Amino acid sequence: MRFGYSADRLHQGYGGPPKLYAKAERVALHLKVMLMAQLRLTGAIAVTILIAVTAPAVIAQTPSGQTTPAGQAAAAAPAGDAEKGKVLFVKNGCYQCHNYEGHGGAAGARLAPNPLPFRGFVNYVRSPRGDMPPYTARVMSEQDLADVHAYLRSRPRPAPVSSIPLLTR
Amino acid sequence: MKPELPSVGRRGFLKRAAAASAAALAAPTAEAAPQPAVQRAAVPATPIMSAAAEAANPPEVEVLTADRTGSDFMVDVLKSLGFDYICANPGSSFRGIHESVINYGGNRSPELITCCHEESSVAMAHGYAKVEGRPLGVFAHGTVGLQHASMAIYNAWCDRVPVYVMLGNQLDATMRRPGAEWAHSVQDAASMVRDYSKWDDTPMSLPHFAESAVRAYKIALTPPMAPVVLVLNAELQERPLASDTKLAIPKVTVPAPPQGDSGAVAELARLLVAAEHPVIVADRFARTPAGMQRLVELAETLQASVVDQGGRMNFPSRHPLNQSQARAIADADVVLGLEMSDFWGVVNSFRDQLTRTSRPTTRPGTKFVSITTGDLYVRANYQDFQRFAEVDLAIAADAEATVPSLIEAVKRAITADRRRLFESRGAKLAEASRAALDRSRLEASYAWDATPVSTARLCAEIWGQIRNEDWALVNGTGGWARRLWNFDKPYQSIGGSGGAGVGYGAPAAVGAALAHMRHGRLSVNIQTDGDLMYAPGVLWTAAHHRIPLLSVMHNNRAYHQELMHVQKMCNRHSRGIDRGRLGSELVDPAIDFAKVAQGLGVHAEGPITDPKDLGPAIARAVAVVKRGEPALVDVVCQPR
Repeated sequence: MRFGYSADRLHQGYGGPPKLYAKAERVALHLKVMLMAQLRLTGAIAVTILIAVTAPAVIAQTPSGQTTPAGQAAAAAPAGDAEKGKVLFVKNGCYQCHNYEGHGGAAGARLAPNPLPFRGFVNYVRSPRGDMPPYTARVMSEQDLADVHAYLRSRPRPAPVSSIPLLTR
Repeated sequence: MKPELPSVGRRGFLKRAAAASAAALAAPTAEAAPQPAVQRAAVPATPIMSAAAEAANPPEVEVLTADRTGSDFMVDVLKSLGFDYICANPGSSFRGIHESVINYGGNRSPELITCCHEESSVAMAHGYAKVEGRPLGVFAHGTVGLQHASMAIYNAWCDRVPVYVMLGNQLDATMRRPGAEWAHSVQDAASMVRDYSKWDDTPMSLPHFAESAVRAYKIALTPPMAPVVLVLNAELQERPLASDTKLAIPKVTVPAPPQGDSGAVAELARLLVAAEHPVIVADRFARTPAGMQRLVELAETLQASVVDQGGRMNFPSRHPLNQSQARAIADADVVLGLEMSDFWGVVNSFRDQLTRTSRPTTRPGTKFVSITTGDLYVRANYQDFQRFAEVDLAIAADAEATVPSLIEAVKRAITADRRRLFESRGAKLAEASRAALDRSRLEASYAWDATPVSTARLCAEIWGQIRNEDWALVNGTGGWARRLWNFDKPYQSIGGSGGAGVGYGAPAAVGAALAHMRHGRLSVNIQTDGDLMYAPGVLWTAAHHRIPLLSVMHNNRAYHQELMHVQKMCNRHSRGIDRGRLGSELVDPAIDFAKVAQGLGVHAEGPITDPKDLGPAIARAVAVVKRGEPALVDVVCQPR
């Protein structure tokens, strides 16, 4: 049975620098407000859903997240403990789709080493737009998420592809 | 010559056969002695008799042997159909034809392949057929054997692959041995799999067998291809062949597959030529080696995007028009689906949350066209036909057979203006294809040195060892291999199981490797742990029959797909999110697959946890495989 995580929009949302992500969110919100004023309720609901789903696609057009300074993403986050986050990442099943290093794979988006800014990260984990299972505050506190966020930010960046012969053939 | 069979009862048949056999043995003897009137009860000791007298048994003496039996003729029929192998776990209900294959038939074409599970037998046949394009035979008990085999038959059914299953059964209740033979007999053996096989029969005579055997072969190989089942009555197998029995084998002629209606093909050509962003999606399209070349020609003629769903080896992975890793569907104005297993699923996304929802992934107004034999044949009970796709033009035909006429129609419809546009489009697509490969390599570089080994690193390390060989992927993750390897030959992939029945991978890989063996190709199996645990005995089959196969394990120590499903339920209910692994993990103890494989006679190494150890281990395994034997490398991997 197909699990369907591979196309999760989360992946595209995680890639962009925070400023661009915030800008995309603002653009999406602006569009939503304008359209809701013009459309009947049912249509507006549909458009709201559409925007919610497509907003990350806008973000996907931004440059690769590789260039994002880790500290920039961490600015809005409560203090997190990467070691605790590593344990929580496994214990709470995050690794199942995103793999142990948070590097993503066939079932889930790459999160590390540049996850969404903390507030966007929490929002997504609480109310995923795609297929990802939601993590409510009952099962993962904001501190837990801060620890996981810190763990993801602590993951090493990869060596340049050009330095890995197996990836140049 | 029309086949004829004397209409006699079993007892009369045996008496005639016995008399004929005795006469045949006596005939060459010059001094044929008169038949002695022997009273069995009156002969207390073995009488002194001449050799001729010993050869000429009196009719009253029970005849316990026969020179030829019905199953010999059955083997003649199987030989006429060109079967190279029969996969079987031995069973008494087909002991007659088993013996005929190995003795009367000389165990050559077909040769018996010893299997440890009927599911393995059928899955081997599944993998073999996807390489060779024709079936190999499977013997199984009509009851317990078929019950074991049924899931693999279902996989082959869903995958539209010809598998030729022959079931032993004792129909005559008065002839059954007490005990197990009753439990192993059934009124209507094939009924259990009739919902997911294309045709079956229970022949009542040898001429009936011959016709049905040829008919079954023809039906199995006519698109849409699918499994067929023949029931071999044990009496029919073991009954002596009377000397005056006249038998013939009908000629087999596999029908040419149906091509699309010419008007519909012309309309499709106009749509494709006029489209700004046509996308061709191929799934179970290429059923012969010509399929890939035809699709390349169609795509290049149009300079159209191709998305290979991977059900078959449809399109070169690094072809500039291959957009399988890009978001081609979202931009499409015409989507042409070729032998799609799930057209709806390609043009819609589905969200599996508390309330299940879906939405289109294409622009409004996008035209959908399908070419598929699926429109010619569908069953009601099992739901593998997927959700209804609203297409604008449905061509009920074999896609591979239809594409040549479509290419010609497209060429006729192209104008100079359109050709210029096509060239511009092709250049953009080539750039997108290069960018997709770069992205894949970048993504693969993350967690490159991680332990457990990343699945990208796993595939990259295998690629490093096989890329200069004549290789073929016979099972395993199409994901990273498709993204990183250069698939450019029609035999380099056989797709998946069809029905997603776990346990397909290992035996299908061995079956496919059996087919590749004669071509001298290096078969590569990316083997998951949960799949191998269903019937690991197939590794012994590979070792016993010297089937060269490189298996590299994607061992994530879990039935991981299900683990994720259970995690989803845990999260949905906000309880026990740290318990989602219970019931799905394969730990405590962790399975030592190297030892399992070694115990089954296969060269094996592992478990490997440090990615730096992986390349050398695969190199050693490749050397073993190139010597003509199977080898396995167990690698503890990241989950997905």
